[in-house]
Amino acid sequence: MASAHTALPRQSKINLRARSPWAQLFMRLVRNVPAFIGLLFVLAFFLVAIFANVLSPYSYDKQDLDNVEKPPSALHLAGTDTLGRDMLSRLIYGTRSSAFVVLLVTAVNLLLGVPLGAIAGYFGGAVDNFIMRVADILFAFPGLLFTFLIAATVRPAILDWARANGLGDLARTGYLDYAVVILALGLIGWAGLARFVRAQVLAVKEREYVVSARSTGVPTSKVILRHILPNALAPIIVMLSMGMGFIALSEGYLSFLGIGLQPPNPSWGNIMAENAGRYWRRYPEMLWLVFIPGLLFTIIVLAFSFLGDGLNEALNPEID
Amino acid sequence: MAAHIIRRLIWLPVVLFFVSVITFALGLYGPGNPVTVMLGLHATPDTIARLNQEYGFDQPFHVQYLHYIGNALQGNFGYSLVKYRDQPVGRLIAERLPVTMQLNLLALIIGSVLGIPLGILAGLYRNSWFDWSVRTLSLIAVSIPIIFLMPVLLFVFSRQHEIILSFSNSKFTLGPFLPMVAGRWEGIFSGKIVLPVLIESLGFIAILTRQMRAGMIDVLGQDYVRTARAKGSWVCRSAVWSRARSWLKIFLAFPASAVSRSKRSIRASTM
Amino acid sequence: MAEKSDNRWLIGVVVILVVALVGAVCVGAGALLFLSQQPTTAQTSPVPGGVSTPGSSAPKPGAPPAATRAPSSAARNVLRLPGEEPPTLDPALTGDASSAEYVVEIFSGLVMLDKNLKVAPDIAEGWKVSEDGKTYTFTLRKDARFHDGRPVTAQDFKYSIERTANPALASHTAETYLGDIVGVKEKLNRKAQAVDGVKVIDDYTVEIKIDAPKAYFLAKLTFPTAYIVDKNNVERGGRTWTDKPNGTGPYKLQEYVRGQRIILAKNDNFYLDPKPTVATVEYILAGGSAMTMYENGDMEVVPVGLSDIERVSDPASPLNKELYTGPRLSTGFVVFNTRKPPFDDPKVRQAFALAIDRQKLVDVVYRKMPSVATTILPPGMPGYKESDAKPAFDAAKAKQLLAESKYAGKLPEVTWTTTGGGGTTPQGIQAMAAMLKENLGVNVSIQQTDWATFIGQLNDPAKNPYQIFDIGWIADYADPENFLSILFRSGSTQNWAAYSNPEVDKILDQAGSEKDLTKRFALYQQVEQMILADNPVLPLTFEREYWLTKPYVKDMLYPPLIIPRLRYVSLAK
Repeated sequence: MASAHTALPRQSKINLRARSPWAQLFMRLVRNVPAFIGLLFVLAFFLVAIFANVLSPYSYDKQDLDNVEKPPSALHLAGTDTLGRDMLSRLIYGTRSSAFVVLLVTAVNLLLGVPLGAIAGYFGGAVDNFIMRVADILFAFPGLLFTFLIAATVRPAILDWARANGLGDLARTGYLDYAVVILALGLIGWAGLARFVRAQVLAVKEREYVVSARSTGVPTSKVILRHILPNALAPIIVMLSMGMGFIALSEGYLSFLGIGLQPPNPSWGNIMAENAGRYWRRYPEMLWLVFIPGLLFTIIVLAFSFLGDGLNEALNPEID
Repeated sequence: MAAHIIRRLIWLPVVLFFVSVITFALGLYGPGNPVTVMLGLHATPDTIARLNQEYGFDQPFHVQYLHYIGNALQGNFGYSLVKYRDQPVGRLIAERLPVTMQLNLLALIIGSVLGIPLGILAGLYRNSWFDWSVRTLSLIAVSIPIIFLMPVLLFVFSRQHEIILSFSNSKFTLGPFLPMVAGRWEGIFSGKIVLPVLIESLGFIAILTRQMRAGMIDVLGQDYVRTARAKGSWVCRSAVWSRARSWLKIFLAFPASAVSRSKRSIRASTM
Repeated sequence: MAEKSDNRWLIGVVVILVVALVGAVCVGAGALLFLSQQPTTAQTSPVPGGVSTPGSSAPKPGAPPAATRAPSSAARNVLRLPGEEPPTLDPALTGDASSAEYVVEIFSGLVMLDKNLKVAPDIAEGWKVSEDGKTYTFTLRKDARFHDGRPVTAQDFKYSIERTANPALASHTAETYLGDIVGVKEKLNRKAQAVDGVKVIDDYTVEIKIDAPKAYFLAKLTFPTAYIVDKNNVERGGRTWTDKPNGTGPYKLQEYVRGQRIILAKNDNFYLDPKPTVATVEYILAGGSAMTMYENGDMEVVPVGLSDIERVSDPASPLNKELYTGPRLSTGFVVFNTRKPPFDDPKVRQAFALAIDRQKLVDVVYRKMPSVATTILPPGMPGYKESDAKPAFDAAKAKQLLAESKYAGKLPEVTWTTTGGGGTTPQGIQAMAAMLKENLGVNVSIQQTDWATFIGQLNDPAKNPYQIFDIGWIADYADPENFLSILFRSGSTQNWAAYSNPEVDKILDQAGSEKDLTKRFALYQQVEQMILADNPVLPLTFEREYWLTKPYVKDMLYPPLIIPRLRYVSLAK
């Protein structure tokens, strides 16, 4: 392992230089074994999410009270849960929930964080101060606390509002639960990204080509879009991909705590919450109830982390 | 640098003000009302109205907020309404704070003592097997979901499962290390704190390792260090000194990350 | 070359550092292990004839470690059990079971509930009821004392009631438990300065006037709201006087560390027999793994939860011999809001009731922990009438009833509202929704909401927006009135189904003032059948108590209601 790692990039240095920056990035990523495995898992994760209805053998909410808590078998590859639902189907649909949340929250973060960070960095002064102080306020709440607070307090209010305004269907089908999770995570996540983009912009802003573009009277928006953002794009992508793991993790926590997605809509978090109590005392007969969703959850979060880490390494290649 | 710090300090009260408004509003307009919770299923509209009036919940937001913040500034955080009826909130916090701080401090010490050298080494020997394993382990440590780790660890730590030592016939269990079972805080020399501190310091180690490693790589990449290295000067000195500022930053950031870490351990110990 | 050697030197230093630290941590952990075992030996060694010396503490093959530890606790005369954090220890503010558990041991009142849940004399040694049933005259014992030795007098009772009715105290239980006393409501609403209905005749005689003859009034007086507190204690202690309560009960509060433990010590001067014998009762408040602690011999008593019940119920399990199970005065219901379509049609209500297979629900989802409810009054409640009838379940008839109803073919959307333990939708509700879909073809969607919002809506029956929901009712006192009138009389705040039947109201009122118990219970049984026939609710489950008790604990009671029980317990040496 060790020799493969140190030797490979050195040998292929010339090769890399010949290609486009994106190809170089990709090649570096592929050579990083854990990151590549991470990439494969992440791809699999999204594919399973897209084809959940094709892949799952049963409906995710079909109960069979005569067959509860059956261990994995040919009929139910991952066993059945405490209401006799097929665990595998629930996990597959849980993948879809998770992917849905991950993508939408990333989009919200991107749409809020990048423009706000770019504006703050480029203009500086009062605008910068305002945006960054709002970010500070969000940072003042430790960890996921603010997310938990929002999810716990806003959810009932949103559900009530929806029911009162003819959107009861949305509340009933659970789509609003997704909306609340996405809102709670999206509202917080942008601050980190904005800080990061701002720093990137500040770093690029003083480079010669930007300074010259500005001095020749190119409009501000053009400077940001044409010159500054493209240079900051790669680190932003890294930042986002590392954030995805955290979002998946947070969604799992929210649903585990009961303030995220509600059963029967499956989420890895609520699957674990529903089964944890049973597993607890029935070890080892009921290992699958917690270990299968727990392992899957762990694997996906790790895959995202390794991919992000690999991307990070690939972007900041070896110095010497 | 000094000017920057002063500017940030001036902003601190403003940030704190908004944090307090948001928290207060979430509490006030969040689900339910303390009076309803207090009354449970015995509520009558009359009783609800009477208690809302006694507690001032019928006042407009700004009146309630001013009342709260005015008292809070004088060190009076009000009285608990539901969970610890009539107990001063400040006292409830003060009772718990020492335990939280001891746990965090211990985890912080273990975390820095292991995390900083590991990070420096990994940075110095970038892409070696050592770096590779440190990086992988720290990544796993930061991203493993606690809701999965806890059932596993609690199981391992349970007294019912005996670990048989291969070199002797004696059996032992990790049961004494199981936190919270005794229901009393026995100080940091008790075995009960092993699990929370383990989990908490794991996070510290992972974060510090990653930060120190990134910092090392950053420094080693700088021109003067390269020159110094080429000339054969003492790498460690130049590298470490130039990192002094970043170190300061890292340590200043600790209180914040300590809080979020401790949440992790609280969750761990309540599950 | 120079660079390399520099690095090596550095690496050497760092490696030594790390090794030293890891070593230190390991040694430290070893020390921790050692230290953590110290208290155990310290606890066991002073026991005369006790088992444990450090050398012999290794468990013998086959012998559970618990067996060697148990006698020490008995010998020290300590009872350890899991407890819940009490929201308050102030009797006047006690409205929940977790607070009442401690308050009934530390304080006491004029009357109490005995082992059989009958109203029995406590500080009052006797009482007389006037002809019209509205005036109660209590004679107080002369030997009742506060923990500090001061004798209890009628003035203390008067003070306690005045204090509870003081609007500034904001007691939320005052109306429910003392509202019948003349003048309490007036004082609470600032329309009177004092409670006229409580009169001190002399030091040991007190007279209480209530607004109407109520057979259940004495039962209400057994609740902590009417308990006696010490004026000096309250006024000197300020808002946090319960940190050092000076009560009258069989136990004193010795220590309370929030989130950790409550320790009660026996009151040697207690006035009633049997007097408490267990010297110290330690409630362990940090929840989590009480069951593990019990099995490790760190607790004498533990409740059994859903995840342990099968293991413990297995006759082959050694724990099975230590299992106690008994009723709890609590019924779980599915409530149909009779004001909301489609449940304004009795046929729809009946159809829904018949489509839920309660037996299967209890057997599979609730693991047989509660029993299936077929009546409103739970077992153990005076007036409960056992029936052999199987819980009704008939999918075909349910479908037919739905087809006959006025909503046949045009059933509106049905949403089941539920709170959820810990936030997630309870499995039982998911299972019932699936049964309704399968047996009735109705898509019921589940809406999970938080407890605070939920009760906020329920407490306003006229506006309650929920169509169908699940809720449990726990008896406040052992009287059928507490279930049937409170939950089903028109105009009651807790009439969640918004059920209204003039006939039922009439019989309920008649039963409320009937003095002859046999006649009274007969009336309640009659009215219960009338209510059930209308299906405003579907009784679902009767909750039960499941506890494990170490064999050396004698006479530990698990009554279906909170009563003072610790003074009956003893530990065999």
